[in-house]
Amino acid sequence: MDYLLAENLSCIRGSNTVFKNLSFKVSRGQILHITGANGSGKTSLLRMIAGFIYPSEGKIIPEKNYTHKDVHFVGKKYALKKNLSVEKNLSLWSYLYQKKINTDQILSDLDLTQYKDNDIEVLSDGQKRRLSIARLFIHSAPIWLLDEVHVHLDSEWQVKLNHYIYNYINDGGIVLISSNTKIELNSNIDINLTNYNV
Amino acid sequence: MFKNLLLRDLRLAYYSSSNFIYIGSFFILVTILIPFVINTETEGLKSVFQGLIWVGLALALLLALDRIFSSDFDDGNLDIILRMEVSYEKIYLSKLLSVWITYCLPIVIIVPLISTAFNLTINETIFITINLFCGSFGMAATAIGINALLMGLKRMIYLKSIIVIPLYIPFMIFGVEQGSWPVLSALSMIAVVVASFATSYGLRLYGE
Repeated sequence: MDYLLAENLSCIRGSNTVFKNLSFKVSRGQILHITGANGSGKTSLLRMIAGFIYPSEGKIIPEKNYTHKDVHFVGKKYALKKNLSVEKNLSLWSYLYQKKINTDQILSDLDLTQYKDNDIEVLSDGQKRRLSIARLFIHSAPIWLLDEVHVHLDSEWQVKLNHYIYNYINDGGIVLISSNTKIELNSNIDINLTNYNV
Repeated sequence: MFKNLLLRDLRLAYYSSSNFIYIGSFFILVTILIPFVINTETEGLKSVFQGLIWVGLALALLLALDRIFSSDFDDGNLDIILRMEVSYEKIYLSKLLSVWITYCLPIVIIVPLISTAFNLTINETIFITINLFCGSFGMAATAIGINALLMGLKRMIYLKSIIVIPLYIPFMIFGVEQGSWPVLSALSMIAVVVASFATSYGLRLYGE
């Protein structure tokens, strides 16, 4: 996938128009940073690109139903079962991603080895966030859609995450990332959704 | 992909409190509870047991209502499932099989084992087990369909139960009749087909 193009996208939720006439083009090796006030439609936009919500108007090119071979959507929810251990959660993911997961390697990369047998509910939000980011490395997809993934991460891990993102775009990936706080990320394109709100 | 989804659901059930031993124990306790509070002679006990099997199955499925789709919806795993290369119908089918294996199969296996305690003859046991086998698919499908439509309602198990229980009445009416397995099979087929549309619709609405 060489680029992602959005033409005159509009998002209407119920009787409320969230954003209107949004167009952009992101090419391989680029980062699109989406900002905006609460309720400006950052999550809706990313979910629209991931194919969960149909655009009320406009279109997204390439036009098709995305699978997780095309996009990696990492949202605010961690996709973790809180009453199961870290290791068991990873084994459940391995079914969904159809990949054998090297649990020890992933946990050591995330600095979570000592929590392998702990239930998710004893982890801090930052640790859960780190674990949810691990999905990005389980298999490769040409587009990463990251919805406020910096939230709960400490500064050291925010830097590490940015480093992962730079590595990924250097390998030709496309990243769309949203945040409502300032993150130290050198993006190629910035969109403030507040400007597209009605 | 279908196989992965099914194995994942079974693994999840095994890890959590909805595994075979828990469901089986729950069902046995429900069936032995009633004779304590109802003073019945041998014949009465037999007919109470035949009805109780269906109440036990319905209760097991009602307790599962907050797990089917809802827990994956709450924690974000549904996002991953819906991006798998698998159609809504296959997601439904894998869910139907996993729910049936997790919540109904233990009961179908246990009923013949405990029916002697309630003075059922071998013939009666065979009939009731066949009925249970034929009807349980429809009851599982109903639970899945309703849950797919209402998965956004968190911790609303009572509301979901109020909607699901009336739909179980036909299964229960025919379930206690010996030799009514063709009717139960027909009911199950209708429920399985209708629930597949309801589930697909529910999953399609999910993002909205």
